[in-house]
Amino acid sequence: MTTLSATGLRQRFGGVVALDDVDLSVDHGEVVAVIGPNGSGKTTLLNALTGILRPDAGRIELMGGDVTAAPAPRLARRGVVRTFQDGRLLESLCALDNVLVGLHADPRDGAWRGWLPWVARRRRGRAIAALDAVGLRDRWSARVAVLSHGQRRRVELARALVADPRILVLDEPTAGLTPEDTHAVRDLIVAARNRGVAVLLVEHDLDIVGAVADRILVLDAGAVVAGGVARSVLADARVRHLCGMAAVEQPA
Amino acid sequence: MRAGAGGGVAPLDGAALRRLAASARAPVWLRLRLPALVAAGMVPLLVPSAHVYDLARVAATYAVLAVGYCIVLGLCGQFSVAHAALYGVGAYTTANLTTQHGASSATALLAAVGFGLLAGALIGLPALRVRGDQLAVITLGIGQVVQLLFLNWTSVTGGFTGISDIPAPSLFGITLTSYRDNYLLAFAALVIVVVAVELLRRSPLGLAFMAVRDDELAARSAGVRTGVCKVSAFALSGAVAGIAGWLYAGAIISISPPTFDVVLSVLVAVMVLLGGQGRVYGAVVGAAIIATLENALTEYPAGEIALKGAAIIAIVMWRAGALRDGLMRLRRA
Repeated sequence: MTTLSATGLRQRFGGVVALDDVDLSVDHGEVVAVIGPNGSGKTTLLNALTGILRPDAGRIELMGGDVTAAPAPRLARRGVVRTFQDGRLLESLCALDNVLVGLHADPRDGAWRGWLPWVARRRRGRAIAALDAVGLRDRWSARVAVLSHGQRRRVELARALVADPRILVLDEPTAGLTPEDTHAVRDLIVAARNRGVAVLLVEHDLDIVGAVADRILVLDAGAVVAGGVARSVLADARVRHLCGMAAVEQPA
Repeated sequence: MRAGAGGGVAPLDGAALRRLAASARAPVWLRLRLPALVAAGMVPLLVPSAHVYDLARVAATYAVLAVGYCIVLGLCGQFSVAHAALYGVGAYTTANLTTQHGASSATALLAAVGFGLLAGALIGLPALRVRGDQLAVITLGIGQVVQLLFLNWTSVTGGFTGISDIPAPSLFGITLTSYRDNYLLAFAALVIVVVAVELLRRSPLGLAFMAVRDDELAARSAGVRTGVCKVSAFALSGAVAGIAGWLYAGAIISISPPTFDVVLSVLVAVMVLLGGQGRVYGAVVGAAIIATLENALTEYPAGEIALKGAAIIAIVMWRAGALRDGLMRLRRA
């Protein structure tokens, strides 16, 4: 079952073609990774798919319905949530409040009724459970500004996961993380996939990509230059050269 | 079909949530803020005089206005310079209904809140398109237009001379005529508004406002409808400004357009910034400081002009970040 699909996406910034006729689909319970050199249009693709950019041409479908013109909040409320490359948290708030903001993506869990004590208690319980899932339950009251880089990344993941998304869109979730934090993020991605969440992942670390991705899409200068089952794409010498990973041995 | 909650984690039991709620309770000094506010509000009763009561009433009315403005600037991060216009809408609604249509004080209050809400939402519409200093300039223009409306819509507002002989406020059959009664009314309204805005701050809507303030893009991607939030914040602050206008009109007997000028909007912003952006109780302190300064300077017109000029300069410097940089340099030195 296809969760999110895009056909013929084009995006142009002045004279630069950022996306050139990109097709993509992510199924229920599948991890699709997008790789490619810097400036190949990976983040632009995510921005177009999450309603932050409106593509110049092309069509985007969520669960079979057209969402090409849908703004970011509407997409989020229909189950498309994302994290950012630069890890955008709400700096003046604590970890719990950051996660509670993520509950706005669940239109059933009454943001307007949330001042009622029992509704507030249920929402807080959900947010704490999401923090627990990323291993930060004890730091719920810490202002995110004082958390470590890895912890901040995990708060962002908790904010994305708290509303039970249909598709999780991750922009370089392991960039700058320690090996332990990287493993934690990898496990979270796998756990989400096993629960049936579709995952679209932009990632530089090809080890992570190899460990979690079912399918891979390779972008270069805005165009899809390779794509398919993860193992065969990663084995492609041309792809490895493009991503500057020629020296890395691919595990059998 | 959607997946299970937050990673298939068992929901927290009642005891765990209670422990959480207990550890979430604010520190003692924070919990003492409301009692401290009420205690401070009783001080004028210890030194009763018409002058003290009148000053305290102005301070409480300004505080209502400032606490309402906290919703827009403090919580939602939108810089508006049209707040005096909303105050005027509340005051003119009250004055017009009670003098020309024989409405009761309570009806006028409801209408002032309603029109304030509506006017606030309208003033908030430009925030859907522009932000930051551009929004400030547009709201500045809207504020001027509303003041021109007060001046020229003579049949409703009485034009330049305004509206006189506004009856004293009367609620539940009690008419409040003395300086003391009017002060106590304004102070009661302040306590109600402070509690309401604090509740708003802790609600999901208040949290969404703060998300808009901190990072609009992240908020949108988390499902926060930022446009709805901005217009709601303006509308709610307009409703509170309507209450302040009602208090003002009831206490002052006669109102006229010059009161609701841009300088008052700037002063309200200064009150909120004096108290620390976003701090509800801080805004009350800021309002008390500005009201006292203004009162002390009424006999020295040059001093009053200097105060208002300084307020405008302070706001411009704050917008440019110069105030914060200067304070940090002082702290380092």
